[in-house]
Amino acid sequence: MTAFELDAEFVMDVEQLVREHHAPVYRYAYRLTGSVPDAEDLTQQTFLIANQKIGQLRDATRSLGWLFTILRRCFLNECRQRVETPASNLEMALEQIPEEIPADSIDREQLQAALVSLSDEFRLVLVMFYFEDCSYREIAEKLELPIGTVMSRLSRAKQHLRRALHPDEIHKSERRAIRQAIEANG
Amino acid sequence: MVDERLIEAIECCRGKSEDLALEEMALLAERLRGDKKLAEQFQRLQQLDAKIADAFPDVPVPDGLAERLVARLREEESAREKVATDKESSQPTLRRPNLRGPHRRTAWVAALLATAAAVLLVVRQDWFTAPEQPLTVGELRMAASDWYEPIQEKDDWRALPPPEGYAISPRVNLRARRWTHFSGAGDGIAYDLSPPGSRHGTYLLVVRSVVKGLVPNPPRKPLWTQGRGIAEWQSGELAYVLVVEGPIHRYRKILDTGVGPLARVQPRSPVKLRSDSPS
Repeated sequence: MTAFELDAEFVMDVEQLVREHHAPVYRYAYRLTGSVPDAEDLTQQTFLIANQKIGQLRDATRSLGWLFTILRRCFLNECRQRVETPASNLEMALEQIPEEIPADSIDREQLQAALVSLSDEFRLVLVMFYFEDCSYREIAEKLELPIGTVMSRLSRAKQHLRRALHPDEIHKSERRAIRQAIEANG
Repeated sequence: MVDERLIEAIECCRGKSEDLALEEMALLAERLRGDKKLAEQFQRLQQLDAKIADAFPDVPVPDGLAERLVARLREEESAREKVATDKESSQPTLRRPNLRGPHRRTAWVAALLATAAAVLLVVRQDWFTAPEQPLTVGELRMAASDWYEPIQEKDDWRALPPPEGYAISPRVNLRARRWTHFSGAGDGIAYDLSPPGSRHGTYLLVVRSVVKGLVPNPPRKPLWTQGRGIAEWQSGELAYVLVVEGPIHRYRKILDTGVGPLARVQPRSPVKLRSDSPS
């Protein structure tokens, strides 16, 4: 990379960030909030804060991750200000894993319905894991949580998600088989 | 009894990553090596995770979202600049005084008084061989203002390199494109640091002079006026004046102010100019 290319990125303004990243930021916001107006508000809030703090962005190649960080903080601040909804019943268990992975894509509304039935902290780790492609260690680092806490939340949230996506529980036998396999070797 | 740690490990581990080599995955890695059925199950879970991950970005983006965001940002920016301008309305600006109408006489009187003062100063220096008076910040700023005001009409830019002895401050995170002489406050050089394609100009004036009252570091908050920031500082025998056009965050990006968060940023590695020819 030459100096001027570097400098051109260095002076990138927030309008350029909007043009390049508004779609993934909005999608992230929608998966977290579950409603179009809330997602748009959160997206707007994210870019307004980005505009104030754009001097902190030192590497244009990391701008999307930087925006996601702002978005998460906005979301968490909102969460703290409202009454927490109780977590869904997240029993610890290996959940349904289909014997055959369905060829059809997962319905986006069904996925969203499953997400909004989770409490905020469980939904957040799921979105970070699936949408942002974070590892559990990265999630722990970004949320400043112990690794064990994140692993527990992520595990339970994933099981809940699969249960919501496969409500007929046709794969209970598979779950039992896994448990038996683990126990037999335990 | 199922080991819940193992269940959590299965759920959290990404099979294609290096997760399995991590300490907390040791138990899972060991089981997967010795249990074919569990390994198959694990693989299927990975496939299902990939399928679910594919569904997450499947969200339609509302029409006109980007335009609404940009409009909102511009509103915010205008409001901030208005507040900044209002706050600084009592401070000196880089705008040249309007010399029309009732201001003309005042300006002439001021010019005559300044001339008289200059003559007196020369006479005094002649008679008493007094030491040269250092420049003040106000004089430096006024000289910079006079140089800057017709910036769009300047046609005496020269190709790099400039004469030696007028180094760009290492606090400035931009490179020069071209230079010209600046003689409003002693011998000096004006650099054009505007990045190619940027709609906002950036200029650095370097004067070989010790200016009375100048701070040793670029200020965190520049004088903000007329949509541009102006900052002065002294480094050794060189005085610097930086003019940054555009929103205030450009100033913070361009400068390492030596204090606060910006100072913690690692210095940028030296970069080379693509072209030294004047544009």
